Amino acid sequence: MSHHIVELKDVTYVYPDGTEALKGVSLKITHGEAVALVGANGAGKSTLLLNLNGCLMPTSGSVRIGDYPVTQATLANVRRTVGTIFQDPDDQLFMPTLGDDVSFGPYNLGLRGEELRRRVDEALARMGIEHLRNRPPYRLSAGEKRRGAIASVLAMTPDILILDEPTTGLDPRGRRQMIEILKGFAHTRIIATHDLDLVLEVCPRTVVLSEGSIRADGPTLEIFRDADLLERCSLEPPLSLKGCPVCGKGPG
Amino acid sequence: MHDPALGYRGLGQLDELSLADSPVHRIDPRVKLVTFMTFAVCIVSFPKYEVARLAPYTLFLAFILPLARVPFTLVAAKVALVLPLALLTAAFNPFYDRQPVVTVFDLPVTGGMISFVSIIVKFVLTAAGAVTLVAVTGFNDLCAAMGRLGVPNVLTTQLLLLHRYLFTLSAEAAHMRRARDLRSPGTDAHGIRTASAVLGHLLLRTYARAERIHLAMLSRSWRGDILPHRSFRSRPADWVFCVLTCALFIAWRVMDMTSALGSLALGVLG
Repeated sequence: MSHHIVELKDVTYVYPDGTEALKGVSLKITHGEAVALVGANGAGKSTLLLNLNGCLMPTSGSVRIGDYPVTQATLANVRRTVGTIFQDPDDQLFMPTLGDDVSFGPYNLGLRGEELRRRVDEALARMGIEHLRNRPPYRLSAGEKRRGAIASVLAMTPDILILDEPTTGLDPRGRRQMIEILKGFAHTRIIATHDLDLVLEVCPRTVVLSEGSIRADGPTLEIFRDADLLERCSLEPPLSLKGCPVCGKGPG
Repeated sequence: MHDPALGYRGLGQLDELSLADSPVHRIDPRVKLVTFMTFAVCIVSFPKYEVARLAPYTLFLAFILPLARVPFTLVAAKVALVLPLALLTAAFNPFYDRQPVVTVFDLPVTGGMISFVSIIVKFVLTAAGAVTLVAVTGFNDLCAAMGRLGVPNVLTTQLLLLHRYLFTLSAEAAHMRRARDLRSPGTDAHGIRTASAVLGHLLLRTYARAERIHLAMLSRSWRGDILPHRSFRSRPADWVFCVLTCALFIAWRVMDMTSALGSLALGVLG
């Protein structure tokens, strides 16, 4: 299925103030893959994500989503295919009620009436939040907001999901539920996160970004066992790969 | 969950009330909006020396508030919050217009004093009317009704976003204030300099957030329209309510009810 491939060729992005956030990033992600994007603060993770849905256009190089290069002309199609879940759900839930918010995307895609209602119902049910439909966003807990934001994107039936820090600010149970939800998706998933234990569970493949360049790209376990590499990129191996803090025994 | 900052600012109280049920709540939001507009236009169109003839409109509010189970104190508190604006507008009237028009107990009452009172009364009535309207309709339904009645999208979108992010912004402000207070125990770091730094910072944060919201909208194929999809249904009774109340407002405006009632009462007594 060639049409769900995400491909970056030598992408460079320079912010208007001159900051070079991406320096020649090349990457190919195929259908149904779950890929983690890890790296220190300011490594360029968010910039990379914004380049994938045309919110930012590469200064040089090219981005392809499926059969389309990302350009002004293909933007509508790209945004139908790529669903972006932003870091702060408060930025994403801007409509008066959760139900309104979930219907925002499909409405923009031209759905009306019964079909629109069904889409919204499905997305809310998928995230288990049907009962919150009429709540205003400021009356939701952090976990509920997060699930609401995902529902609002699922309602557009994207093929590719982009998630920026999906577990920040969640309590352990909320985080656990989020991991299960992410594991359950059949979509192509690109997840930028500092939560390396989440990466171990959800993403077989990891891309390490540092100072705007890709430092490593490969099987998650291999990368997390490379202590040198992690150290150089200001990262730490995930807790589940460290020895037990009480008895000192190694993992597994 | 619910941020404590909200409770203490009294934000969201009106939205809470709008979730209740009463005969007034059940009226179609479009009908309520039209009724309120007629109410407001009738009041503000009175000549500047008119005070007594505004009295009947107070009766209308006194009738509708208990019917809608909206606490009078809440409406009074909200009106008091914006009253300084009216006071500022009217403050100079008594100084400019010193022509005595009547004498009450040997004290001359100037035209300026009467027009001052008139402005305040008009303001209190229309503001109380608006607060009541939001309390019985809810801000979001009201915006949807505006859109349905032809108010431009640009305006309803602004109002909806303003309302949505009022809560986020006030929570942010409350957090910053707490952070400032905790780092300035026993000192007077609450001067204008700190306040202006906090405000400036808040403004920058707002800009940054606005940009992120815009990106989130674009990512979901936004095309310039964010009206929530409400289906309004008006019953015949709604329009009867609308026509009757509007007729009443216009009658009070056109005819001098207060003196008519006054002379009627005098006639009966005499």
